[in-house]
Amino acid sequence: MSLLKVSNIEAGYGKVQVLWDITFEIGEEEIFVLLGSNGAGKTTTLRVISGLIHPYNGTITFNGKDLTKLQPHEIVEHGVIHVPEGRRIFPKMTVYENLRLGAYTKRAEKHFHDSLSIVYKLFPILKERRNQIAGTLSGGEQQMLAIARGLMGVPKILLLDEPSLGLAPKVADKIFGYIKEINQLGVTLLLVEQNVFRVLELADRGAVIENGRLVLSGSADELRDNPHIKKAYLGL
Amino acid sequence: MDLMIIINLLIAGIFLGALYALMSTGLTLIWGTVGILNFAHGAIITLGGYMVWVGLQYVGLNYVLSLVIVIMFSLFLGFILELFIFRPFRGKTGEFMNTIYCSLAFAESMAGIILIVFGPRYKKLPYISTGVIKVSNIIIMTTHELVLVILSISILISFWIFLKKHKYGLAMRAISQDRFAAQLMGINLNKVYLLTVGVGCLFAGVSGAFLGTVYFLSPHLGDMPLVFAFVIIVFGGLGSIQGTIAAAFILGLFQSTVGYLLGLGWSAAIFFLFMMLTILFRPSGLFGEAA
Amino acid sequence: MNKQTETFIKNLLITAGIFMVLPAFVGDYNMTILTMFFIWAIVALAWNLLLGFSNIWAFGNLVFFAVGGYTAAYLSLKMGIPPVLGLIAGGCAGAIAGIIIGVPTLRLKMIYLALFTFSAEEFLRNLVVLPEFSPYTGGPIGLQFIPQFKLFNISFLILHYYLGLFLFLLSVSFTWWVENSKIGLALRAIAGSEEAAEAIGVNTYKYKTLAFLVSAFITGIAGAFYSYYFGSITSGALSFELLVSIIFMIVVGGEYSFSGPIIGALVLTFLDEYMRSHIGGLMSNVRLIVMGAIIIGTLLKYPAGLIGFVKQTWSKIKINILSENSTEK
Repeated sequence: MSLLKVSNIEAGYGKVQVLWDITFEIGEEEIFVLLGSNGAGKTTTLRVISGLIHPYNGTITFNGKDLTKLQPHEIVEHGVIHVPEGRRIFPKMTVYENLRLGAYTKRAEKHFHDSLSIVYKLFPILKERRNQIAGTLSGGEQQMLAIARGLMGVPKILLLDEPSLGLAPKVADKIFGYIKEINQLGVTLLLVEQNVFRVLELADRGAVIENGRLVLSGSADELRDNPHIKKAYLGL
Repeated sequence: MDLMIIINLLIAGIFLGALYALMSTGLTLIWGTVGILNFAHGAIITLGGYMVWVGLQYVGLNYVLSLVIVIMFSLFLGFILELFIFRPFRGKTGEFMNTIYCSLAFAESMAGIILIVFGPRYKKLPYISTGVIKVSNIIIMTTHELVLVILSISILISFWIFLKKHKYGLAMRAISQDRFAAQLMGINLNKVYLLTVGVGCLFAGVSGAFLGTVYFLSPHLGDMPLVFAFVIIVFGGLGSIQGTIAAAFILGLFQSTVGYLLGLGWSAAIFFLFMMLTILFRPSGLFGEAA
Repeated sequence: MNKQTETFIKNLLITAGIFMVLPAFVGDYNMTILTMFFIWAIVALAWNLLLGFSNIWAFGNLVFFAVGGYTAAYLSLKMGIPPVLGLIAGGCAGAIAGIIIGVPTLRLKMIYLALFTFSAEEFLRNLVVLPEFSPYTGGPIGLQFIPQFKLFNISFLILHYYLGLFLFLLSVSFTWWVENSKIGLALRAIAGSEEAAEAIGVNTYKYKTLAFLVSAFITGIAGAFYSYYFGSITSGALSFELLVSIIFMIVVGGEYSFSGPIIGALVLTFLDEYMRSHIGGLMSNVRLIVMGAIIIGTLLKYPAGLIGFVKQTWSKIKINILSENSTEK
């Protein structure tokens, strides 16, 4: 039962095309991972899904509905929440205000207090620092805040762009632990990551994008055993 | 110096500061959230004053009730500006400069309309009340001035609370900090832009209604305030509302003291010289981000 | 001599020719408007050297205009200097002001540059009306009864028309020459990206200063001529209204083309004058509404200005002619 269907997406920035014929599906409660080197087009794919970029061709279908032509805020209303690369928390606002903004949509507002308890239970340090200005948090804490803020939107699918970027290995490990917990709460996840080894342990299925094209896809086991992946990304 | 004079200057400075703060906050709000310099700001200030006139002369209301007309009309103008002047250029190249040119053009058209409808002769708006406040039998301030200061500060405080607590206030702040991430929260940018420009113009209109009682009501009422507002928002730090308010009061005090000592002409000249020096040596202003 | 320069010289000669014989066909009234047009066209052109051509957001060019005007007025009125020398002095004074204002802005970015130059103008405007400076600037009244150009018995109108035309053609040629010289090349690079220009070795400080110098010099001369033409100069030369009208001329005409400001000056000067004189009384303020609407309308439809409109229409005409020729077998 596929939740998100990405079909034949061609997209770019202005006249510069960056994605060619990207197609994949994500099932409910899956952890799906998009791999690929820098600049391959992974972030662009996420932006197409969340509506920040409109594709030249192709469709994005979510729960049977066509999201391709919608505005970003409408797509958020459908439960597609994008936690962008580089965290992008609101630096001059408190942790609490950031979380409040995460629950901006009417749908999410209804569940605000429940979401807040879940988020505080999952990330106790955010509860501790709830009145602290977000810009003064450490890298790891900001990443937690970004994910928590995403959760406040009551996502049906959470798009995480490079959640471990710039974080020390121990902290990154913690983040991956949280990702697994979130998935166990029933949230479907689309993960973009450079840390291939770690993330393949976590994922159910995945795909590889190289130079804007989808070159491989399959289950996490299949990808792990794939010789190309072993050589190119795992250095084996 | 005579203590009485100092007190008078202080009060005059605070009075001007409160009015300037109201007038500039609208401008800085639009700049911070929508990213546009609204050069029609002065025209809206002027129109605010004239709307009180309309209320008084044509609808037969008193000053306070005329403020309702001012609020509605200023909001309306703000919506027109956003929908017909700012939105068409959004996302296109040259947006920043073209919106400046077009808001200037809009202001010019408004000036024409004012001249035709109301004529060039100066008018005087009445005071809200005619009492005075005395301290040891010396007048330090009129009740009218006191009411205006209280109103201005109340409006600013209410707005501050709105920014801190209300969903749309948070949205305005979010957009000014990270437009991209704000969209990902589900914030409808265009809707918030409309609200922001509306509120910004509302502040301009109301401050015009106030200024029109202190200075003569004329088609040029908003000209100098526009320039002062720009100086204030730069000095306070572009995009920072606290900075703007602080700078407004500083300017008010500066104008009252230097104006008293050297005359208005010199105070304006020194003021702009000071602005030039600020830009050269501390462009981020009081509270802005480091340049 | 390359093709572009050839075209320019041809166009210049044609324009010069037309303007030189025009007085025989248009009345006195139109001649006065044209003389005004010459002044504003010079100011707009020189201003656009900074604004549209070099992407330097200078908003204080009226400082140079006023400095030139007041200098020339003072020299002729109080020191008896003949107007011809006064013109040159005005230009030089403008140039000096250009350096004084331009140099501090070298490190400033865009909006801060705009606010700095604009503050300079407001500063001067407030300074010039101070009674303390009356002996130099005439205080709030300005300088009046400035000695004017006289040449034998040539009528005032005709003399100033041709003088204005002469200055106009001179400014156009000089500006063209600068924009197509090494200086212009450097400025174009700076307009694209100041950092990139620096990276390839362009001395951006030197060329930006030169741009200010040239622009201010030309504008100063225009200011001096303005003083002599009207016989008086006041702080109106630094007014916000004037600033806005010149900016409109540049923008409506097209800030990214050479002749844009000139076209803009022509259209707006005539429109404004005609509306002012043909609609009497209070209703004459309709011209403000119309001007505002024209600017908004033009920018919405043709962000490149009227020149954009002209070029588009001309291309369409050319395409039509070509396709007609090709269908005729």
